[in-house]
Amino acid sequence: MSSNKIVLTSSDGESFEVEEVVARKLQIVGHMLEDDCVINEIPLQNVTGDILSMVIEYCKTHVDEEESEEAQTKLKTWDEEFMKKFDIKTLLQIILAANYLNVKGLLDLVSQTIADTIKDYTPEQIREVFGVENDYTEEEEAEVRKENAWAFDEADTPKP
Amino acid sequence: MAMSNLPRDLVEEVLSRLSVTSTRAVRSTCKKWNIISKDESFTTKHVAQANAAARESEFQVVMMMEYKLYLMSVNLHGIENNVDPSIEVKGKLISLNIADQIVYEIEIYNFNSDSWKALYGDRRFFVHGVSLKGNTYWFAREYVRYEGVQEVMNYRFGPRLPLPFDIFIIDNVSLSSVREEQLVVLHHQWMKLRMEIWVSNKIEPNAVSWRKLLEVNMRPLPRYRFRLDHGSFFIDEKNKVVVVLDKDEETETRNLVYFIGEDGYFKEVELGESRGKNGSPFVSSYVPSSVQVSNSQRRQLTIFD
Repeated sequence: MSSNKIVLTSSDGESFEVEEVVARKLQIVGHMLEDDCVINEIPLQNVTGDILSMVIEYCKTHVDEEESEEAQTKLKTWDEEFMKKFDIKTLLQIILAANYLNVKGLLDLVSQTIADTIKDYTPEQIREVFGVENDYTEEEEAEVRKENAWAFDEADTPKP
Repeated sequence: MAMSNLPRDLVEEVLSRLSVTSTRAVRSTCKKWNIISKDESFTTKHVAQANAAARESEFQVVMMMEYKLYLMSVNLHGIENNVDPSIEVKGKLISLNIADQIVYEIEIYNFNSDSWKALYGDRRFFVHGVSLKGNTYWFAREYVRYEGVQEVMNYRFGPRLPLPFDIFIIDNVSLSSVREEQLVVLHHQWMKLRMEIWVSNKIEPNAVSWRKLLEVNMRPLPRYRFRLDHGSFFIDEKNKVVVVLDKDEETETRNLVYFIGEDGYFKEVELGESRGKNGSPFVSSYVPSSVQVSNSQRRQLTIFD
């Protein structure tokens, strides 16, 4: 494997020098390298330095994904700890960045982390925590409640 | 930075990872989420995730017990390495006024005319049918019957489909399905103390072909006489395990799950006690769908399979 270095530059002008194998984990970079193999500096317009540094940290850790169960378990633990560091606002920025930079593993991880958070909230809490506007009129809200009157509920699940 | 700043496909990416127990909350949050959760691509993602989990021997099933409906997660991952199988409740069907008693009737819903047809009164339908690719299959002595639903709401039988074995009068025969793809039949030969599981290679309204998935010698397990006319089962093809839900033969109130596989594999898990002796736990494979089905003013429900 080549130990070629690539410089990634964020939208706010921060630069990160990383191994080519790490940079290639960002598929957007991978595609650029395939198109023109002499690039060694890549500007990334849609991501700020603080978010890019986290994406790079993820890619460095996942650079050689071993198949062994032990390695997989270790990575999974690392992923969980990694996600614990961020608040909702940052998670939402990371998901945008993972999507833009095309890092499939990170996109899956962040999506799942956000979903796991939503799971425990009521609609009112979801709106507040995730900044979602309630655009229902009173009548519409009543209609939705009626439509979903019966649903599987986790809250009331005594062992049958 | 708020969730409303995310493009739709990313919102969908997140919401599609939520379990069905979050559906009510998601739909009540805002219009955009309500629309996304009913979108076909959303359901497709859900189905793909369920299928991926099933390949790892994790299944979601719907179980009816004591007139209550539960969403269960069954995990058979690693049983070849002596990991115990597990079955746990993920959710319970409950209405907003905290009611959980469901009414159990067999009816056929017609999507074209948006209406129901009741099957009560017709004794042929007292056993559970299995829905597969828009058709419903019932077991009838000697043959499997096929039923298609016509637009005019008169139900119509297709030709009888053959089963791959002979049936003795006291044998138990029960139908199940693998997701929306294959019909499965369980044949418990009470006299020979043998149980066989057959899976369809091909299943169409007028043709079926079968292959045997599993044959179990029940001799070491003489007390397990499944009352499958009422109880039910499903299979894990990968591990060649059949999961049977039934009531305990002695007490008739203990609900049990049996995991039965090759080479004498047998595990039993308690599902809890029923108040009465009637009715066995009934299980059906869960295929996520967002289709809203109505029944005049009487009730509204989401269909499961």
